Amino acid sequence: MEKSIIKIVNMSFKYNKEDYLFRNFNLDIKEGSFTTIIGKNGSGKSTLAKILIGLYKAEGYITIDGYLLNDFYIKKIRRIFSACFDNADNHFIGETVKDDLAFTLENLGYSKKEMISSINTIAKKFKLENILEESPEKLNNSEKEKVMIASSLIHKPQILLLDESIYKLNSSDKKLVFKILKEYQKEYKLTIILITHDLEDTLISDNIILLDKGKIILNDTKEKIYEDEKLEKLGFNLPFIVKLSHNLMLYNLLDKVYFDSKEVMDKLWP
Amino acid sequence: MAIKLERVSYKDKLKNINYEFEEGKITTIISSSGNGKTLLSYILTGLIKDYTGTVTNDYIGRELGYIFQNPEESFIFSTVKEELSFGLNKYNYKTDILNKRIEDSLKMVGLNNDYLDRNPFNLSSGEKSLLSLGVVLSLNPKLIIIDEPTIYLDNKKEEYLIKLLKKMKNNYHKTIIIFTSDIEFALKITDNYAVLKNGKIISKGNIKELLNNIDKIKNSGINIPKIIDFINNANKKKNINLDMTFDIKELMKDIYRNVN
Repeated sequence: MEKSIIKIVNMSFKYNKEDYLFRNFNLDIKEGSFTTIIGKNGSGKSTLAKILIGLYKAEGYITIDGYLLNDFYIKKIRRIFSACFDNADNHFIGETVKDDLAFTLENLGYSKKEMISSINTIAKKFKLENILEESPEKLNNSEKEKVMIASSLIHKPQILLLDESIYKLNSSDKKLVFKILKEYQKEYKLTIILITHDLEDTLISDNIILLDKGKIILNDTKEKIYEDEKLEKLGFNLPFIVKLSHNLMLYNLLDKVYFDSKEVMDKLWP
Repeated sequence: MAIKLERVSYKDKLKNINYEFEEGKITTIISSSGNGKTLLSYILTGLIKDYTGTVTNDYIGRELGYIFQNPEESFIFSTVKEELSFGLNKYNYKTDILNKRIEDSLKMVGLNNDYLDRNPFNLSSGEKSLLSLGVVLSLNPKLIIIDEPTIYLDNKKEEYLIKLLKKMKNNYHKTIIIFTSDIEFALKITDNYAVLKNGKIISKGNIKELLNNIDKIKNSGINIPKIIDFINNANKKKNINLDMTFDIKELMKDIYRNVN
């Protein structure tokens, strides 16, 4: 059994005078898992993200890799827990892409030599070599999100949280970013939490959590969640390949739900 | 009359563009952001003049209608009525004819007389898009150029726009040029297309050729709807012949025919 890297016990939270958004909320995220969190506007997805990175203070107990989330341990937690949000422009600090990538490393006390090698490695992976000297402001939206994610991964954190941080990626960049995330999950046991409004993005993850008004409605493996059309009944658009699988199953052309369109084609036309 | 681009370049943003637009048809220039789409639309309409190469556009003045990507850029007045009257006032219509033209223009874009006294800046972004189209259509241009028409429209308004533009072409023989990154919209509406990447045209042809070049478009960074991607890959890799559709039920019927 994998250890829990994020543990939330009896957490409650409310904005000022409003009613409680979360009340006695519990959640366990295992090390090395890849979870997408979905939910409609106002479900608490982004609030949960901001609680987890210590931006909002909640009642109850939250531990990140065994450290209690509080002012005392926050510096330690920041080292292992990277987060990206939806506006890449807010993320940039450096004058050039290179400076930006260096920023985290500098703070962590990397030597010059280690910094150069880490920047080169990450730039190569994310195909940023040609824009290293550019000002982040001048990049297109897809490049901006790529740089933001690259700078969050450069120091190999243990947890990466992406809150609507991938929806401006163009199709080829998205494919690349997904490939890198999977690779980090496998090689470095990176725990990934992806918050998204687009169910297509859930297909890359292993687990799916559905939040509604601060409550967990569903929390299961992707296979379990998509074995029937429950999410559709709850008002979501199913990923195309899941929807197609269910339709094909009705016609007895498929035995189960597939997440890869190539597999579906091979089943239909061997 | 002709609309033609010959060896058109602009700074390092547009490189040697050659394209002749077919009149009386809808042409879509497809590209993701940052590839020179809006610049090219400015050159075609005469808003940018310091390009190199030759631009032939015989549609001038009132014959040319341009709709900005951000509709607010074209608004100046505090009521929808004033906005619509402004262009028409130049032509000295009698009041009753003017009023009728204003009302017809609003109706044409799916808005009604209740909007006349509203402030254009306070409309929803979808309504703003439709109003800016209405302002342009009220002048009855022969050539309509639109930059990113769908970004502020919900599905219902988009369907309406598709019907309207097709009607403009079929019933009134308008020439329509659309700049968009929305491939689904392009597939639903266009006769001809060109794909712009890094300031160059990398693919062009008619709608049939567009469907055959889905891979090229995908490689240029444009997001292809999953259903189109599936049909395209199945047709190529499995040597079958599924029809392009956005409707999963239609696709199901087609798959059923193709497996049995």
